[in-house]
Amino acid sequence: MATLTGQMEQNLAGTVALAVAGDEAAFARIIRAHHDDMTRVCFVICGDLDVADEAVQAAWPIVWRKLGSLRDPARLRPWLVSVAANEARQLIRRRRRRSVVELAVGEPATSSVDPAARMADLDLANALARLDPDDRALLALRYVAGFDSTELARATGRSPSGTRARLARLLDRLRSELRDD
Amino acid sequence: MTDRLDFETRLEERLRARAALASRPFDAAGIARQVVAGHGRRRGFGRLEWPSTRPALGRLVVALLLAIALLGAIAGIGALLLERPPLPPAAVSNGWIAYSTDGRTPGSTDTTIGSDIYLVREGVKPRLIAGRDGGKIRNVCPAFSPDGHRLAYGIDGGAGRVLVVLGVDPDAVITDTVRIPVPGPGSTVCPRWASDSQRVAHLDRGIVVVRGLDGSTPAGVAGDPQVADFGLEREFPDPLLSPGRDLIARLSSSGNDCQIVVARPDGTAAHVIPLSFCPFAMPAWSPDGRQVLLLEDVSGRDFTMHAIGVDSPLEVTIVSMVRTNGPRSWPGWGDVTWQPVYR
Repeated sequence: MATLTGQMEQNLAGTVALAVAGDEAAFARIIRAHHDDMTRVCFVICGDLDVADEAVQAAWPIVWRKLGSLRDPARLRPWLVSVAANEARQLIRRRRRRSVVELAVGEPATSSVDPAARMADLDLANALARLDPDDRALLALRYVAGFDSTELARATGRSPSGTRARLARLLDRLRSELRDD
Repeated sequence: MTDRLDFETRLEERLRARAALASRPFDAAGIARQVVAGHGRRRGFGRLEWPSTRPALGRLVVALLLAIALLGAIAGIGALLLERPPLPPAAVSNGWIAYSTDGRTPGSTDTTIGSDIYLVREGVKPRLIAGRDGGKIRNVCPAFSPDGHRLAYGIDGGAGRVLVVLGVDPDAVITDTVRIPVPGPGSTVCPRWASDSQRVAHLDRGIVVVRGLDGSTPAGVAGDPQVADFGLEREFPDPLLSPGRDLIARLSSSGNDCQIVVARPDGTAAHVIPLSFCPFAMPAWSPDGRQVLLLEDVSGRDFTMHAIGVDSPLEVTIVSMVRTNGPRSWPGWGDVTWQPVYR
């Protein structure tokens, strides 16, 4: 297992090094592995599939330009997701699109056919829409991307404990809004 | 608490399910081709199609701003070095560094497997001075007294809360131990020293409780710690005041680049110290006011402690690869203290 993990790390480092050197195929491998994760996180932040796509598309050129500054290839995923999340936040702030706050109209098709579950999905979407983009980013990075508090702190520029406190306040608010008592 | 955890679990499931709606097929090779073709690294990002005068004007403005910033920085550093009162020679030097392997409050840690306190200094292997007793107790919040002769810390464990004060000589020999029980179930005891080094204080339900070293509870006097000294509201970017109160240092980052900004307390004469790594905390100044300590996450579970000179190119590793108690449990401000040694 240790050898396998070592090989995976070596492969990742090799892929990043190749991409830094300008290898398009290596860059495509990185995109293939992470584009979906980035889109999911951006969707939770933006609440709109098109805006999420746009954010991720804006993130890739930044990644291409700055990949050489990534010191530890093992941190590639959190770094990529952070870049995309940041683009999503910026995009939302720039646009202030109405669709971001009126989610019920433009909701993507949900997999749930149960009316109660569908209502719960809409409640969640509306609760998310009422949050500040920074708070949605915090939730997306924590629960969708699975960041730990150190990664969250790095992505948000706060201390790990400050991040936890903010997350706790956010959970309390959502719990109250979603009436989960 | 269980309800809260249940809610968090359900929320995570719902958010993931919602996020999954965004999954769509994509053409990785096509995106890569487009990015590489459109944004060669050596060219100005997306600038080639712009009218030629605008980038030139933009570059001129940027160059001017950079020149002004550079002059300001040079003047700032010069002023800082020239106008900073010289330190009294050998008035205070830097002794041992004490650190806990855990965050100072239960709220800043995800695990309860106990924690240790070590003493360390550059080039010397860390010495365990307070062990976790097989995971039963947390040893937290080490704080050297202002005179450097004592180290106080808090214990939280099965036997309740205790405030411990150790006598520590310059060779890190423990000369005596005082254990002061803290009644009641409250939060973990985090001691702060009075300026006379004869009394320690801790918070109890938001109120400062002062304790004499004999365990007494005297009335508060001038020089005793205030609530603000416990740093409950402290955030990552908050500046840290030097022991001489003549400088502040704060961490700053832009993208992947991290730096320390050192300035006078009023923000003037700022200069930037670029870092080769991105720390997650700056817990303390050195007692001589010439270095700051930085903590770097090196693996997701381990941290390394560096000392960085604020007016010199000094950069040394104090201790490396210290295992934390869990991936979400990290020491920070209040969990690391540097012993002043007076001659």
